[in-house]
Amino acid sequence: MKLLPGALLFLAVTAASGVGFLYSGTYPMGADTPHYNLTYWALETLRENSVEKASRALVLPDLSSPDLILAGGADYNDMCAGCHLKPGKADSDMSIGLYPQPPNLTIPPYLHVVDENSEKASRLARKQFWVIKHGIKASGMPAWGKTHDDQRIWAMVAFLQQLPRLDPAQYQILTARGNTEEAHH
Amino acid sequence: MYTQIFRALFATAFVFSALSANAHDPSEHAGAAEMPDCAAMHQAGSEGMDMKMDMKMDMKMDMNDPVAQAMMKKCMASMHKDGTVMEPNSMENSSGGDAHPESGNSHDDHEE
Repeated sequence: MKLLPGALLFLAVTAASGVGFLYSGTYPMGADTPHYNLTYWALETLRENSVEKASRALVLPDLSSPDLILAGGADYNDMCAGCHLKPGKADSDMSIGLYPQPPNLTIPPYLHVVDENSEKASRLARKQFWVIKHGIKASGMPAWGKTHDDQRIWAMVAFLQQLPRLDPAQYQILTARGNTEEAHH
Repeated sequence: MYTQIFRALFATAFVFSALSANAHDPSEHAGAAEMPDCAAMHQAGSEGMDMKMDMKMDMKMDMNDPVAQAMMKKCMASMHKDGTVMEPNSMENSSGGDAHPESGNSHDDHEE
């Protein structure tokens, strides 16, 4: 019984310290000051499990459709390549400056095209769709779903399945918007 | 007084900029509209080009491969525009035979 007042006092002091820290302005908010390893691990674990759970029920379309790949390629080049790079480009101002650093989608571990029908690949594709559509809080990844429909987002996911094995010439052809209308009609 | 005016102006600008962020058409991204550089595929058809590693643009490219199919689809229009015909069957021939601009049947064409 004597323990209760002590526990309550401890909680009150902890809460007050937390609020005091929030208002103190001492937290280094700059993107050039990385998290502690423990903080990074906690945030990454939170993100990965949240996305995994939220994307579990998604149903994959046929991601090998050439039309889907072409549509996604053009959008990827316009909307994603600045941060997530493209074949022949190892970094950019955005990929260097953002924190957390955006993943380079042209290299492994996104190189899963070897067995694109595997459950692991399907799970990753579902997660990619969810992340593109909903974005990631406080990371620089926007929620493209607010301005793009699901079909266009799946197209980008389809392109991502092929991206790691493209060379610069192939990438250029698949992402160029010019001639698209003639090619399709 | 000035502060109130600035606030009102700022709020108005904010509301209008927020309203403009609606779903949009893919064509809105087409500002630069870069053309596909299909020259490598042209060369593959006309010179049996030296194959670069695992490039899927080479003469032996697997037409079941989604990337090869997508590239063919993308470049087909410009090839036809140039008068060059490059059909999937011709892509499987690694003989390096010419696909001449004037040729309608690349299978039967020979070096001149």
